[in-house]
Amino acid sequence: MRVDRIATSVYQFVLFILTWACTFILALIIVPTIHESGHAVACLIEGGAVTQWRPLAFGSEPHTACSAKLAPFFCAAGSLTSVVGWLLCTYIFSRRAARLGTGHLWNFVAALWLWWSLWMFGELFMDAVHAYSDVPLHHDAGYFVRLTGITPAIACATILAVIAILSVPLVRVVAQTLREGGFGG
Amino acid sequence: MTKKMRNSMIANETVKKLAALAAGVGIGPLSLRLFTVIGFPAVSPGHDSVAPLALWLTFSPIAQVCAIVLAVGGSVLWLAADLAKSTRGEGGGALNERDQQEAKASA
Repeated sequence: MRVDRIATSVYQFVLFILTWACTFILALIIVPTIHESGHAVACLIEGGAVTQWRPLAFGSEPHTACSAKLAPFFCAAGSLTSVVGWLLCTYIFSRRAARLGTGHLWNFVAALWLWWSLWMFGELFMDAVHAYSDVPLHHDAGYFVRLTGITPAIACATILAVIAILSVPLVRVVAQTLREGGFGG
Repeated sequence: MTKKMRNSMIANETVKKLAALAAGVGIGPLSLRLFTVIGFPAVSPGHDSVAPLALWLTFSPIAQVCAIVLAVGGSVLWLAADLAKSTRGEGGGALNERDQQEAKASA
């Protein structure tokens, strides 16, 4: 009987590891895809054509090239789309995830949402750092600062303020998920 | 006695949830490193989107050590709490049965 219990615990544990590992990679595919899609849509809005669209971070650098002249909107569009995508995902997750019950699917979605959040917040934090970039090539925030002519400190402070504001729903939804037994607990 | 046991079970549940979160957060960067080792395309040293952060999480010794500590520590706590819950669950069941018998006897 005790062996059965240990076997069940180990099975649950292996499933738990697989869930967290797979969702980590899945979120690392989703977030850059949304980011680069934002650049691509901005390019089309500005009347250009997307000449290169590499959304994945594996093997090659995530990158979007546009035939139109580089504009601040194009630079900011990636992170803006990431923020909008995350807010939408968080709203749906916090309102609708309860319908998934409390089983493995619920844990999978909760872990995926947490990794999605980590990548999105990490992306914003890197943008805040890159606002000071001396070589803004491929740095969205660095390009944005150069094109708009604003000081890096203002750009950095704005991004950090956005991070602080978005931390409120993040903490609330994490607490709610923990209460409801998500994350495999 | 029952109240004490209930409080203990609530504390155990909280520990299990936090341990799961800690272990999960540690497992992520370790899995990325593991996938890279077994031949999955590595995260490129890019500057756009999440690439710099992913690269740092995969190859930075500090990030990897933190991930190992979180994954191992969280997993041990999680397994211990899970086993304790199973054991206590059986004990709780026995207690409930005894309560039911006492209730029947008093009736």
